[in-house]
Amino acid sequence: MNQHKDMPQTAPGGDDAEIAISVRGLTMGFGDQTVLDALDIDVRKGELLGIVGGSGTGKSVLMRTIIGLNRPWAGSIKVLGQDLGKLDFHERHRIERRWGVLFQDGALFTSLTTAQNVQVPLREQIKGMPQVLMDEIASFKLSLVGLAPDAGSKYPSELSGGMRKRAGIARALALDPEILFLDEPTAGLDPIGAAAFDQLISQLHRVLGLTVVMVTHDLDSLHTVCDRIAVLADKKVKLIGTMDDMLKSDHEWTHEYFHGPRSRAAGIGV
Amino acid sequence: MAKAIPVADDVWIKQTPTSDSLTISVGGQWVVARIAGLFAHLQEISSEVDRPVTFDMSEVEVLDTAGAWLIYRTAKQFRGNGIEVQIIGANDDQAMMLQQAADHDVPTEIEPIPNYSLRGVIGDVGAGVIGAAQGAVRVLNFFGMILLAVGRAIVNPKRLRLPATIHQIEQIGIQALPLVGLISFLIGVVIAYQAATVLGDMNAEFLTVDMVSFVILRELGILLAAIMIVGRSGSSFTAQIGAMVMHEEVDAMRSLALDPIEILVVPRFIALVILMPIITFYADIMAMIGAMMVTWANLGISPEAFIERAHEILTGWDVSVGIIKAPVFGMIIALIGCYEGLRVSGSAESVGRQTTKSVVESIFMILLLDAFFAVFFTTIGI
Repeated sequence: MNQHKDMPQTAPGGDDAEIAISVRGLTMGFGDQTVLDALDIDVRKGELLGIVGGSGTGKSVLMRTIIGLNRPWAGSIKVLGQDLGKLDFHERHRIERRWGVLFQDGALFTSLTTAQNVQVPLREQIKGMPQVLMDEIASFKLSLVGLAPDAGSKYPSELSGGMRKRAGIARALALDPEILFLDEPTAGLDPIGAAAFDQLISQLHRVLGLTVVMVTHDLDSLHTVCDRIAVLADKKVKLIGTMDDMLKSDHEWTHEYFHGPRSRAAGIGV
Repeated sequence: MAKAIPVADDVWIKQTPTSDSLTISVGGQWVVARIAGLFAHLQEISSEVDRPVTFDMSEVEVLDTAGAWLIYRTAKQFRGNGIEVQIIGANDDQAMMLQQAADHDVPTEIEPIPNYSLRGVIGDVGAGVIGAAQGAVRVLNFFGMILLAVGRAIVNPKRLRLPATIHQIEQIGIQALPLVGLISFLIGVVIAYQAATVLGDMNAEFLTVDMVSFVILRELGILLAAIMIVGRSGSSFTAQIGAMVMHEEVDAMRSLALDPIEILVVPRFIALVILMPIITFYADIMAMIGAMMVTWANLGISPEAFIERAHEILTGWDVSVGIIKAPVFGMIIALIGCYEGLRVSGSAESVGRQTTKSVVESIFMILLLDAFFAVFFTTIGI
């Protein structure tokens, strides 16, 4: 197990301050089909949490519901101490600036260059930001996620999948969020690219003190970068804990997942 | 001596000058939301600085990457002006942030630089001309490929995708009837109204029927039908096929040894060639009915008299001239709509651009051909 020894220290202020995201009794679905049923989950400040589960167990739905793209049927979602259901328009807007999201294929705006994509949140959310500073910050962010200087003026269609994801992270980080949501960050990357991306996530998490919530299927990612893992099954969080807890679990799906041939290949539990 | 500049209520910059140095103390929330104001103040300070500077960061409560970048780039700017800079009071985390800013000080191109030089402009013009010529050749080539595929379908009818063709006929034809009918009717009303007014001034109202019949049957019916079908179906061909190209569906077809032209283009092509004459005839009739209503209401020419007069003056050719053009225009609409759809590449923006191109080019080609037809029919005397 690879636990971070240098997890960023959180501010004092009781238990509540240690929790970045607190979901209680979340019920959500589509049509007459329930996807999440009275689900509870806590994400601690400064941790890197991986969410796993079989296909169709609602991992992405959970993430999309937390960031407000889906409307929950019932339950409460508290992010950084604020109950999202009770916020008015402006408060909601303010809290949205405190998280960044990487969608599966980067979701870059295709009509803008990579650097302009990173500038979008700066231009739209920060009043009176001078262009020179925006250019510098975009360059900084692109370099931070490991893109070469000539990638800045390229359009998303000219980038490879891995580069698009890096640019997507750079855009998600443009407003210096406290929480970063990643939807299958290593899906579709070759093993070398995926390993490099894992390193990037781990490094950003450490350097910027981010809380990271990552939906993933990549056993290597779970093994190398995640502090804790949450298993979604039967419309609930069945299990949450470290990799050791996962390996000890006798929950059927979890056991199969973490003791299967692919886990052994990833060097888990051996 | 010290003057504190509060930039916002939670962030400030303070200058403490001594005879041989300047201490700039900064404090509060050095975060991206405050960055614009801080930048302006630091620029103001930097224009007056003339002695070594010490940045005191000990009272910074929150520092994010944007704040760290601002301090780093200000220090760099001072050093560039030959001023010594020292940064003190940063805690470990903040020092790491500053280090990150220094490590990632890599200027990046923001957008491709356009070439506005004379050479660049001339080059663009040349590239445009060559591109247009190549485009014409490609369209012609594509037309040939469609004709080949249609020929194969005729020789071997099993190759014709009958369900797809019938689906297209329903989409393009039957569902367009209300729109085409209504607009043709209204245009018929407008033309008859104008004709009656102008001819009335010359005491020649009785010619209204002659004029509107000729105009509608020879030109207006077909042009209206064609332009409406371009807007309704030509554009949707481009968008549909373009979206399929974007999702690699067309590549998938090729990889399965399926011919996208046979599957996507031929049904649309055949549907339009069959439908355009029918839609044109329908548009003709609706416009004539519109005109008939006006002459009846305004000039007191009863529908019976209108039809009788039309019978007297119109020859078979007057009706046919419009309808003969229809399949040709149908081919143009299908050809350009599908061609531009298959030229979509990568981005969502490209679908929009190709759709615009498809509509503009189709209408242009239709009007151009219509002019040729007019000259041709006049020359041969029909």
